[in-house]
Amino acid sequence: MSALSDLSMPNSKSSSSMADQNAAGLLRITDLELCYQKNAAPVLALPTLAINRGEVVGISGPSGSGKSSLLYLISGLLRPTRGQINWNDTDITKLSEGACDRWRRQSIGFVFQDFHLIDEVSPLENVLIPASFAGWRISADTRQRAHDLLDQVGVPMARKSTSDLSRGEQQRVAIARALLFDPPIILADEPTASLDDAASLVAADTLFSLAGPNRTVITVSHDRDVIDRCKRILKFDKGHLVDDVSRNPAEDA
Amino acid sequence: MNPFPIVMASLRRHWIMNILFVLLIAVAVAIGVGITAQERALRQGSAQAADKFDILIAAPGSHTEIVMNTIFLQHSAVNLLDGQYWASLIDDPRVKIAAPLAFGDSWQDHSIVGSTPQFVDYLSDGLATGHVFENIEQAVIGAAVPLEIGDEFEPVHGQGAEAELEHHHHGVHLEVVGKMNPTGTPWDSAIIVAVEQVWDIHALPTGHDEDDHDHEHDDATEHHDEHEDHDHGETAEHHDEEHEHDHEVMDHIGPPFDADALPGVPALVVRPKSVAAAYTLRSDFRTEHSTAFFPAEVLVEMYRLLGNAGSVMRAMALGSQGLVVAAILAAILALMQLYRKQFAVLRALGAPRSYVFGAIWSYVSILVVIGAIGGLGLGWLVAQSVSAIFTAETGMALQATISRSELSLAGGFILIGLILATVPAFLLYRRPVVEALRNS
Ligand SMILES: Nc1ncnc2c1ncn2[C@@H]1O[C@H](COP(=O)(O)OP(=O)(O)OP(=O)(O)O)[C@@H](O)[C@H]1O
Ligand SMILES: [Mg+2]
Repeated sequence: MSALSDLSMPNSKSSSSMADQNAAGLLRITDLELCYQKNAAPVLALPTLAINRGEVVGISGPSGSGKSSLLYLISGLLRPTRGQINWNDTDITKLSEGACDRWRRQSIGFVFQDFHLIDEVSPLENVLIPASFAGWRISADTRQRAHDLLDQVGVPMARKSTSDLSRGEQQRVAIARALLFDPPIILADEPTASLDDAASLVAADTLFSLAGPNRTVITVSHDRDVIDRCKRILKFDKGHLVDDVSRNPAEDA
Repeated sequence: MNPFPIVMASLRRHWIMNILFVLLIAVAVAIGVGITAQERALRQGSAQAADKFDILIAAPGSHTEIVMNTIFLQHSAVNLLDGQYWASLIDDPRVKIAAPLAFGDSWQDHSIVGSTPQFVDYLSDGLATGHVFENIEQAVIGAAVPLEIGDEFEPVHGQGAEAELEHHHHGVHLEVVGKMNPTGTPWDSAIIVAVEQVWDIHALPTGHDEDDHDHEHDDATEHHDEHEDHDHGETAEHHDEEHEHDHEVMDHIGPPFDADALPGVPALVVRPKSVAAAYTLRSDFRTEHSTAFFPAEVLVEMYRLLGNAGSVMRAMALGSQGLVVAAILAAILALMQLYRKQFAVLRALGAPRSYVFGAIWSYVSILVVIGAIGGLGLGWLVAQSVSAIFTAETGMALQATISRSELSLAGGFILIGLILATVPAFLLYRRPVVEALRNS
């Protein structure tokens, strides 16, 4: 399954230096603070955090501790009240909205708890949705890549209706969708929380197979099995990073 | 950026609601289109019907009533115009054709009008088949009269239900000798005979100075004035005698007439030689005992009333369109709540805000455009069927068409729809992404 990371985007948008493979994967957060209301206690306060390229990071913590907020911040969907978020020396908090959208499209693959596929179109069309954000036409290469991605995640029925897929298959289609532009960063928020144990296992396998020297995977999860497979675990509580452990999951097991 | 995959998915997702939207829009547009198309058809149809009637001369009275009686053959009792007027017009150098229009009889639902061969020829631009009537036992039929050349029929006094009820036969049989070309006017269902025939059947003199034609006729209500001048004798064997009589006069219809012996007629139609002649004729015949006018004047007045009625209906149509737009907008805004999450996800996947805007705007716009085009077709269909019913009822050919005003109506609706489509698009465009993502 590591073949997935070899699927590089044909004619990838090299115009954006931020998406440059060589520099991707290094996240540096400084002095970050997020408050939803003025003068209220921050929902998230993170003096410093660094994540290296190729790391597999699990984020855990009780409900309301700010895990999702962190994902939204580092993907540029949410602007912090204070602080910097640098990916490869680019402070995304300083990007214009349009530039941030473009950067996210090329650099980040998002996986959600509830898949959020479009039932009315085929799995293949679902995987191709991000391609419709940028251009009018979808190239044959991109289409082929979407096909290959579906094969790789184990959902080869490109023409079958999306709503007929099992939940586990739907999450794997969502993962394939996140991979269409071969992003160097994968962000997953509770990717297995809506799946039964067997499907969770397959989805987690698929997700972790994406990791590699050039791809960083960051996943929020309540699922012990998922967290245990991460090389680095960040524990949050009440908006603060309370634990940061790096280990070898193999040793742990 | 190509938001159409999302647009198509949205159209399919709530397809029942979308079909309902389209139907609502179509009906709203169809009402407006139908009204304007129908109104124009009425104008064109009536203008065409009046085309061959340049000047009408009649006894003083309502011009509208005279137009209804003559051009549209919707008969009502009218005063008669003295016979002298026709006599004076026959030799008038300003006149090309001057013909009487004498009505009162019918066969089934078809009016029988007494006139002259020239007028029949003018009205029909030459006959389709056969020839004009040459004596008072012959008749020419309009294109829509279900008779054939050689057929005989029996005129009945009066019109429609009244005629059916009274069933007053004159005891005369007329033969169809010619059929007019279709004119697209109520005259297509008329039967035209020599005016002498109408006079004769009602026991009036025929202007030919031939002895005593004074039969008693107790039922010719419109002709009471004339009746008083004749003696009321020999009631008996009226029918038999009439038959004998026909054979005496059938060899001669039309001028020269003996002016003093010409009975009155309900109206005269005059075709002048020039526009100037039309105006002098009109003023010359506006006397104490006669009125003269261009039917076009009456039509203009009718159009004004029609236009007023049309304006009211159009205002109502506009109101209903406004309601439909408001209802659809409200429904779409409610629907947008369901779409919030989907668009937040797309934004997380890298879609720019403009993609969200474009998708929603296109979605609403497609509903509006399909609905408006459907409404144009529906309105046309409605106007077609209303026109067809109207034509069947009156014989006046109405051709409802889609023209500039209907197109601009639908176009205006589309334009407003496209502008209003920006409202839900903008609202969702502004929506914070994260908030929607959280509300699973
Ligand atoms: N718009 C908002 N206004 C005020 N507070 C908010 C808003 N959105 C989120 N919060 C608060 O921010 C905190 C962090 O929320 P977040 O969703 O990041 O937590 P989480 O760790 O992902 O929780 P969960 O495990 O339940 O998903 C919560 O206490 C939440 O109530
Ligand atoms: Mg969360």
